[in-house]
Amino acid sequence: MIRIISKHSAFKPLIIVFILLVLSNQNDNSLYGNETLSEPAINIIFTGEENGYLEPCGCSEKELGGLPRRHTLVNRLRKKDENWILLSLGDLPGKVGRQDEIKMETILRALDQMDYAAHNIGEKDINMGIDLLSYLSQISNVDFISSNIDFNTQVLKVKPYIIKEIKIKETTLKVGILGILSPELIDDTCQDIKVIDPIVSLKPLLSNLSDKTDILILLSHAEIEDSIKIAETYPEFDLVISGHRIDRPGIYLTKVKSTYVIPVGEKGKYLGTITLSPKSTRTDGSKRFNSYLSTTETIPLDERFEDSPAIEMLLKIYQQRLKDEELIKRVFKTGLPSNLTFIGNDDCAVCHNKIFRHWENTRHASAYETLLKVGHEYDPECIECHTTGLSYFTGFETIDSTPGLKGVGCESCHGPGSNHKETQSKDYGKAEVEICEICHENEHSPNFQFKDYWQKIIHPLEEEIGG
Amino acid sequence: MRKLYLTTILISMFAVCQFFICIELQGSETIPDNDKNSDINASAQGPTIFFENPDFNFGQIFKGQKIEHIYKFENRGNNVLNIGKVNTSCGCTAAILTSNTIPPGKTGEIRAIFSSGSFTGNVTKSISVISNDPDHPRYNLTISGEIIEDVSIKPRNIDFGSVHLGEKTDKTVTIKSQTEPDFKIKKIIPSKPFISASIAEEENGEYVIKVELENNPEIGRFSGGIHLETNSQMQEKVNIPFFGEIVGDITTYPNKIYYGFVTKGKELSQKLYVKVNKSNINISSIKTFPDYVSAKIIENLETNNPHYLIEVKLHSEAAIGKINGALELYTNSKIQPVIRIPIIGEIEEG
Repeated sequence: MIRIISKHSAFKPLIIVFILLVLSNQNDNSLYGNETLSEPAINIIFTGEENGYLEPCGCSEKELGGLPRRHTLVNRLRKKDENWILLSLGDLPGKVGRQDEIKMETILRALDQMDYAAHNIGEKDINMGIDLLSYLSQISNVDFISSNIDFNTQVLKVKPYIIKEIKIKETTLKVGILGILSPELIDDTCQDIKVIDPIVSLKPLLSNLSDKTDILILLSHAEIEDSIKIAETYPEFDLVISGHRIDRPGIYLTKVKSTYVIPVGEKGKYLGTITLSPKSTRTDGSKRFNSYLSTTETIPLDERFEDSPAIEMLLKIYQQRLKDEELIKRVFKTGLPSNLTFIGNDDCAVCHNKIFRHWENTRHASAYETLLKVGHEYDPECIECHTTGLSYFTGFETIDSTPGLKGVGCESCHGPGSNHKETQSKDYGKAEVEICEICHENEHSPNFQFKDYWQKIIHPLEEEIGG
Repeated sequence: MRKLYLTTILISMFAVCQFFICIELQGSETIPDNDKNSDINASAQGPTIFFENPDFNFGQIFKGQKIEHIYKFENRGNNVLNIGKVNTSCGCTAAILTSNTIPPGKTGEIRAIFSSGSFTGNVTKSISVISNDPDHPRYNLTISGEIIEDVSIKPRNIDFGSVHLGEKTDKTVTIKSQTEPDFKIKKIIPSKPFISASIAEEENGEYVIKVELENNPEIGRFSGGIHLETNSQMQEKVNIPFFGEIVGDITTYPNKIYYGFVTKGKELSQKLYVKVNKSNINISSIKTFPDYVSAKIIENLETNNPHYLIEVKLHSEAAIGKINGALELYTNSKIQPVIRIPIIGEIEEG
């Protein structure tokens, strides 16, 4: 061959470029699975601990994550290899309450559309109540799994494990997927469930599955130390997906004997992928693969991935449901001290007209309209920082009943103004940085520096009002 | 000369090809490999970022407290280290860099501030340092520890479960402070008129609150919170969420079917779960409208968890415009003879 090349030196550049292009395409596989590997392999996508995070709200640039972007990436990965197994570690909602119930249903529908193979039940899923969890299990096409919890209900459709068959070329690989929830994470007053030590509950399941499967994966909804302990006890597992309250999938990747343990990350801001390739092919029905990790990636879901229209539609329906159920009206309100009340910007403008006219041109004044543009004006989680006094009696209720309290008005920073209106007291009007930081916190306003941001809203001097 | 020309074109093609592939791969990360034990490498080509202690554990703190920590790092390479960005993956953590440019042999600092207000239990948060170090383009730092609450509440949420229409029920919650020996609950405010809450017991600063579901509201799910005002320095205000469901003879989930905006000609289906809560209750018939929506029972279990699973199909012949339909379940229940499930959506032109 070398002799041939030297004889035809004019082809040398062509051959060099060809080799370089082939090599460069091999790099490409690291993001898109291992479709070109000659051996059969299992490609896994793992996510979890969404904690009610559906999408970046748009308050700041470069927010990561979101179900619509996830769907786009999954579709791109599937174009390269349709055999991806999608797994969810658990904890779809963040907190209890009606908004998170709707969120949970929305996320499950999204997982359904992305064709997830299994959702492991986390403690936040359980916190929503067994009734709701049961209803969702009935209408969802995603299999709910739990290998260590006995639920005291027949309504909940839950399996101790699933076996997923993947056919690659002439080989069919059987992947056993189990899921546990750490007893440490469950409120011990929950009477509807019986939680078994995972070390105990996994033993009979594994002895049953070891001969029936080629690869075993555990979704371990537990702290990383507990997951490592399980991996040490049961080397039968090829992969343990874990990492409760660890915010990025990449950190803490560990190999315990022959088992890989990797955290899932939080809020679905990243998507983790793992490709497990077997060392040897199966020669008979009983032999399991000795798998090894060929690639693993943590892909931040950023603006490179456009929003999937199908999931965007689910999020529109989510917003529609918040509107239909009038969740803004259900926001818990507390009383204000000393019978103070919110009076609205128009009343402030009577005496502070110069400041009011300046305020009208700030982004604080148009904060409500900002929500209107993205269709989030009925979302209680958003509207709190785009209106005045939502969490208090006499504060914002709806745009129809309290139009004067839309936007971040005078009283958002200075407090309710009823007493000042009556007395023109001089001690009213101070605003502490901490008040700004309630909304300008790092997630939604990562560049917030009081000195810089104050310049954007600095009030002009008002003529002295009599008294 | 011709050969040289051909070579130049082909190598340029390769360079362009490589450039696009690099763009595609930028966002992906391989497993981080923070080399925590590397020695000073005087012969290192290029900059080398080095953190003596990239992982910081703050131990145990109370919820609401802020933790500040300075990560010191050094450029152990022989070229200028440029820090492009310092990213935190959580809104709870802020990271401030003292200088973006670190000459060889010099040190820099990253000041991290972690706010614990929205967490309880063990947490690990990460900070990524993006630099021109060729070996560690993304260096991961972690901040971790345990967050405990001063006011402990058991259970943390009140789940009334399924309560039959007309029934009264109650739950108890135990509350105490971990730091305040003379702990007091000053005010208890339930967020719903049909829920009342009062102190049932108090001993040595440990309170038992009785939460009662009294005036029965309408059938359906409910949720809210019991708002407490306490004398705890760290948690003056505490919220105990509650939720549950008032059920009749039959429960349906969901209680509305949303199809969203659907392209004309597309067929979609959703499942409706119907739970039978009382013996001898059954569905006698199902009606749907408009006529391009149909319903079919796909599962009917009469014993052990009696229920129906109904497939509700939006057919391809649906006309452009709003759907505004409904599914009606006709039953032999006295209190729920007809259950109406609104069907909402809009058909758009393709």
